[in-house]
Amino acid sequence: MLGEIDNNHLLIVKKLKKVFEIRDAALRKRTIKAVDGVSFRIKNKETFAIVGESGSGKSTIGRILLGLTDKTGGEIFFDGNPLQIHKQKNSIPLRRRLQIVFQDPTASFDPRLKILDSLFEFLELRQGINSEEKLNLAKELVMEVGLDPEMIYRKPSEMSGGQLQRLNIARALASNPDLIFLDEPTSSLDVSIRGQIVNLLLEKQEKFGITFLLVAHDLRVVAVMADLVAVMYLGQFVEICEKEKIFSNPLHPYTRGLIQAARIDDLGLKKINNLVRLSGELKEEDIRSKGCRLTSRCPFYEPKCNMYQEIVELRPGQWVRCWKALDVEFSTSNHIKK
Amino acid sequence: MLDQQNEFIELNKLNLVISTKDKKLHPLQGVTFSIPHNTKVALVGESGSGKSLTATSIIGMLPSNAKIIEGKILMNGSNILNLSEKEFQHIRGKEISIIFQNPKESLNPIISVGNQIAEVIRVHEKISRKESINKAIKSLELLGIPSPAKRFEDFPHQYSGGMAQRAALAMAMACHPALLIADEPTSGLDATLQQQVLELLSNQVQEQNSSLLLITHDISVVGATCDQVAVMYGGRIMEFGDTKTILNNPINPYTIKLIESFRRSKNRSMTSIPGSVKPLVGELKGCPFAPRCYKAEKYCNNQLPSLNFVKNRYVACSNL
Repeated sequence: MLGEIDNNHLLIVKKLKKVFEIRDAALRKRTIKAVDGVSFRIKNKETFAIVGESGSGKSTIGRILLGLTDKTGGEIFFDGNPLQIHKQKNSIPLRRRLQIVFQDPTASFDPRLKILDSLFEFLELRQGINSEEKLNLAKELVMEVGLDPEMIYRKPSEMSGGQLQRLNIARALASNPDLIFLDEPTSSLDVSIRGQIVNLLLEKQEKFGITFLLVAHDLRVVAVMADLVAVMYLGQFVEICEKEKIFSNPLHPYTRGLIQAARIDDLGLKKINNLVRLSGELKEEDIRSKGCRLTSRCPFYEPKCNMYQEIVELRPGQWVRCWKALDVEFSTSNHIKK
Repeated sequence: MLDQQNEFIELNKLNLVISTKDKKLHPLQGVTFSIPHNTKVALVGESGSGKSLTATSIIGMLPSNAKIIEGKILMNGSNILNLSEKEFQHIRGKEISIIFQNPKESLNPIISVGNQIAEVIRVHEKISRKESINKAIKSLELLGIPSPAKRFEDFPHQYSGGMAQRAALAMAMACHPALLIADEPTSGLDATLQQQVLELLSNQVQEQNSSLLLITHDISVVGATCDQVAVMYGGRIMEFGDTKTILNNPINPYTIKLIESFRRSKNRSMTSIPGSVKPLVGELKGCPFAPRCYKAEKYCNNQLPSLNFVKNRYVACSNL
């Protein structure tokens, strides 16, 4: 799916699966399918965004990629080779090439280390540079993210959230990576700082030719950063397409509900007729459903939805997991009166 | 302010000081705005703007090291700042009630949700236990909680985030308060749920002819919910007036930038405001936003702009 594979694809993920095993208070085993057969590809220097509500499994994909948790099934190819980050032999060069920016900047720095030491740990991944070069590189990186180079002698507690998020980006850049996983990079920041961080990320992507895997629930960030967008619900992708189409012409009922609820174009001022209104909330039980997992919340539900559904290309370049999506689109056209 | 007769709550040049061991902070410096009867007002600002402290001042739940040194809070025309704690207890819950961001933290984990609601009703209305329980079940039902009689018995941990916020709302609305303060009521919830809870909140307030003070950092939820909006920055009201007027045509530079950052950008860059929010340590000499403002002139730093009525709204800016 999603067209031909070519050399330009830095990351290829096929039918990725992750099942968590949990024991409850009575030590009964329970399994949760966090990621259930997800496939996608990211081209060099592009940004692939995954959006969805909390509990949809979107962060788990990135964590598997970085080897922070193991996959249960499926395949990942990075730059043409199967990705095996947990094998000691390959891990150092791979860790240099794959980096992460976490959501909470204050929790992602060691509070006892000076910024300098945190940066050094990552600069070491470059290998073969001496300590003087390291110091210069550290200062350069801090300037690269728009801060005063003398800041490297401070500790995290002396910095604001926005400054720490800049340093988080500097740290991710330290190893000169090919791909950075951005896990909600702006959601703990104030709006006025959010724009600064997003613009900084875009500038660095352009300058260093980095590929981004972006996980975010803030659609405004996705609207600016992404090239391709995947909408995830309970472990599955329900829609994948170019960014523009997600906003101008979403097809899956879930995507429509999500985008309308965000009110990003009108700030809630305009009356929307035929609003696609999702009821209830994301429930873990729905993941066991053989058919569509949105049935309990979808306004267009009918019994046929309980049958298994494949994600198919309904429009050129727009992949949707809903057999009814085109009918639904027809019945709710003109739903937003401009 | 707009209509003296109809104001329920009026804040007049509220100045608040927090004393810590080594310094005095001035988080509110002359907050002035009002909440009319049967009106939904939003108070919007970033963290550190003073919006939550404004709310806690109204409901008399300030931390012990905070002190209001100047200004008035009028409820139906009479100052409520000099009431004793005992007198305030009659207002809290009955006249003004509040819900918080994290509903699970505001519910008692070892008492069933239903009994907590019933307790609130019993305290304020002299009715029997049985009656209060029936009323509580009814209020759960009203807020769209499925099988309310069964859910009455459940404890807070058995409720999901969205349901717990509904229960907290049921508790806050149980005694038909004249004003409900909602402090970031949906910030912990996902977008689709956020919409459901806000609609419910808005409908409840409207049905009971109450007023709402919605405190939020997200100006995009204001348009569909509130009649009026007050934008706060650095302990001051920057702009205050009718929601449509302000969202469609803001004139204070901070409001302009704030609204712009919440609209979808169609280019490959996002609206940003340079610099960051500075903690308010000393007393303000000029406009708090001046160091970050694209329109700032020299005089903006040394004169405190007053709140003037311009183009159908109140706005504080010396350089319009």
